[in-house]
Amino acid sequence: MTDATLNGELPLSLEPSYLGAGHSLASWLTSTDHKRIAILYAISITFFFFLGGIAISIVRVELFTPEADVVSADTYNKLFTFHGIIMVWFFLVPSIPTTLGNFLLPLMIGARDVAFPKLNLFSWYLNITGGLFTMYALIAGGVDTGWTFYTPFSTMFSNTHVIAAAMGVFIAGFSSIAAGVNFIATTHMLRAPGMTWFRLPLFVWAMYATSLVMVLATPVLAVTLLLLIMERWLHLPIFNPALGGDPILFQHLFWFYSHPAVYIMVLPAMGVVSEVITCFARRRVFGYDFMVYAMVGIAVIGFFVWGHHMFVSGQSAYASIIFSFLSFIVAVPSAIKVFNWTATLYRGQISFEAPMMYALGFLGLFTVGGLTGLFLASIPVDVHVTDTYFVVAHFHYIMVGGSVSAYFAGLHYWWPKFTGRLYSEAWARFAAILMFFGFNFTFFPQFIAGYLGMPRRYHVYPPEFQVYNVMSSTGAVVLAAAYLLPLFYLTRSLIGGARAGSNPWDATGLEWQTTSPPPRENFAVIPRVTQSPYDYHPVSEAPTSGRRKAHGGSDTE
Amino acid sequence: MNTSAYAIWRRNILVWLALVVLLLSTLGAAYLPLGGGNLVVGVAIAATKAALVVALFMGLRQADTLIKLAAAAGIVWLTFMFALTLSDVLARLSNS
Amino acid sequence: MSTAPRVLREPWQELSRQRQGATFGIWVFLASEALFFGSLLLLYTVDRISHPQAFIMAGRETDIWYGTINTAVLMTSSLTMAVASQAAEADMRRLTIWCLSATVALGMIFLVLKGFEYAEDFDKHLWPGINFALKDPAAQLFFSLYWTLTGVHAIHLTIGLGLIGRLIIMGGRRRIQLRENPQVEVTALYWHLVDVIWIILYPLIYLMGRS
Repeated sequence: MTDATLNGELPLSLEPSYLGAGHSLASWLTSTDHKRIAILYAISITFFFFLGGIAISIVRVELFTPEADVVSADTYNKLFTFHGIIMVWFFLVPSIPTTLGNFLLPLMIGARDVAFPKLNLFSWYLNITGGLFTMYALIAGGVDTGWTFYTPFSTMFSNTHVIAAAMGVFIAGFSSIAAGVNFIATTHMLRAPGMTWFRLPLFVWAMYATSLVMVLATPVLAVTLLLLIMERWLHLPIFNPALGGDPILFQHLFWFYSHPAVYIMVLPAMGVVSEVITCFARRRVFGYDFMVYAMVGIAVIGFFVWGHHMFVSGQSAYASIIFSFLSFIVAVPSAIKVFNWTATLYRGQISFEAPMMYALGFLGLFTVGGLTGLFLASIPVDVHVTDTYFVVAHFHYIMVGGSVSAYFAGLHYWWPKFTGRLYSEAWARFAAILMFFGFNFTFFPQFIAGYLGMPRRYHVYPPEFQVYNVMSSTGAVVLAAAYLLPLFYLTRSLIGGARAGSNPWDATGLEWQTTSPPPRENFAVIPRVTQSPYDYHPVSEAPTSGRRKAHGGSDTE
Repeated sequence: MNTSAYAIWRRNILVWLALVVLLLSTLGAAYLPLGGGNLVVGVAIAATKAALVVALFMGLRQADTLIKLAAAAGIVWLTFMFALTLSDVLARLSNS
Repeated sequence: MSTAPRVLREPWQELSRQRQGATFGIWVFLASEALFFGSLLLLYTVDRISHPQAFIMAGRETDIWYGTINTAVLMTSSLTMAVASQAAEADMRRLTIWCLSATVALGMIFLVLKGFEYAEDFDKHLWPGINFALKDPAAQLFFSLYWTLTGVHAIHLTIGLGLIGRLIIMGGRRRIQLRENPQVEVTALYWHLVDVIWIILYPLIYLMGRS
């Protein structure tokens, strides 16, 4: 059996796709196929996304008026806490890595599965178990500490189900660590012949960098929550100031994980954006090597900045200055990436399919979020706007404007590969535009409200802030609609959508060299790689006239 | 490498003997009036014992560079965590 | 000649590569464990720097005999585990299973001694709270760390016993092959970590304030 080259088509398998290999529920719930596990995760994170969305919808309804007329203060606290916990740990942290990453990592490197398939399935069950604990906390009456669980409120004074929620996150953390170990081992050990490190797609590098952060940061979260549980449940004094404990130490331990966690949430998004922008600008990425160094740099330097969450908590000025300086430094690799994406677009043949629209949205929204992060890194500014809506807007621009946009970009881009179907491009573009406008209407007014002094986590506010809150809540309705739309047209594509060929976007990358959807073993023959990635516009050739045949044309095979 | 049962036992028992000697030393040293030095000696001997287990029982000495890097990463990241946290703790202590 | 099923599994194409992968994977996990226990050690360090006298006084109350004997027990279990792992490599099945069993036995001795020690600690009112034995409030911080550190360590040890027990039972019944099996290496490395953690905890918990 000869090796097929990347240029020629790989022989398409005649076996059933991974979707057809086993139809029972049990075959899905006990599958060690990374592609099926990715689908399992996709279903669970979608469920959690809407759960977190419902919680914050109630919050935004309450914030329509300055008075408390929808929910009580306690309920309000429980709603934003639940929103934060669910969105951070059960949606954003898993999202791209466990769905897109799980499905695509082996395909992109030319492997048949991840290094430890059973561990992969186990990590999904860990995630679900953690989710069950957290849902129990919700049903039993909620948690009101904020997603940050600060002591001594969480350990000594809160009367809500802190332990159940903390246990849920603790267990989900091990799901993260398992996934990280799996991806690191897979990337090191299962690359196809010829797939050297600097021929890897940037999405693979993004998964790798994210996994490094997951493995090194999440254990500290586990300990932090464990200590919280020890103090609250067994009354062991740990952070209790009356006995000499230090609540700021909780914050150090918590943010040592939680700052790198935001890079867990954004690095995968950056990987997706690199894949989508190169394909729809028909250009190789500008500065591939620096894109790699930047991602690894973000992953590493991201561990040195956590104290910028603690400028007003009582942290020493000395440490605060160090953290402030390092926080400015960590912006540099992100900026390099934004410049390089922009340079990739320059003189490209840009087309505006839905994935590209989401990716371009990412570019703008991430930049706004990142720049406002620099404001927050500056101690004097931070003292003024900390715990206001300015911070809320900042992180939503990155998490939602950035990561969620990129997740949608990837979901649409690889939808034909995962499902073998084409979605409705018209509806998808409409949803993308709706999301961009809805997002900005929701969150831009929050920058202003925060700068003018509106505190976060308050269910009542002075009337002068109402205009911004009304804009924000109205925008949220539009945003919600934009999130619901894909549920319809993507589902619709599964039932009656046009079938996709193996490479509807005419993209580079090994995942496009196998069928849509792929067979159980991914490739009939393990490919041998001889070219660099993103070879869209070889220097020696004129641009090809071949355009994407996804819509309005016949498939290439 | 000699793989007879005798050879396996011999090379591992030598490591074990070293560990026992170190354990007895650290136990003895704890009773010496060294002030702050007690902690230093205790931690230093513990680090040595740990290094023996890691290098010899766990085979890190003969392992691939990649594996040595993975082990090193854990320790290096710990130093980041300690250094930056202590920068705050020590600064606040010296201020109070 | 063994009727155990193949060790090689998807997606690996060669057993040697699979074993390298498993060893690498467990070391990456051990790095995460270093961060895990390291965080607890950071807490210990900060508390000790903040309350040096209280820590020294509190440290005197731990039982040095239980601590030292348990350290010796665990070190010996590392010896038997190392021999087991190397014997499996050399296809010495009986020696492997014997040494794995010795490791489990030593681990259980550790837990039993720990149980007795905990009972004694309770009798001496070393559980933080109203009836705590020492006057200095910060001494309670030391003992919060004591219970947390030793408790978490004991949980890790118990998981290790489960992993080793599984190898003994499945290997003994020839349901799995022990030679060249990455699971043996993975279990061994995990067990050695349990030992290393205890080696580091020993002076911090048992050797304070003795002089």
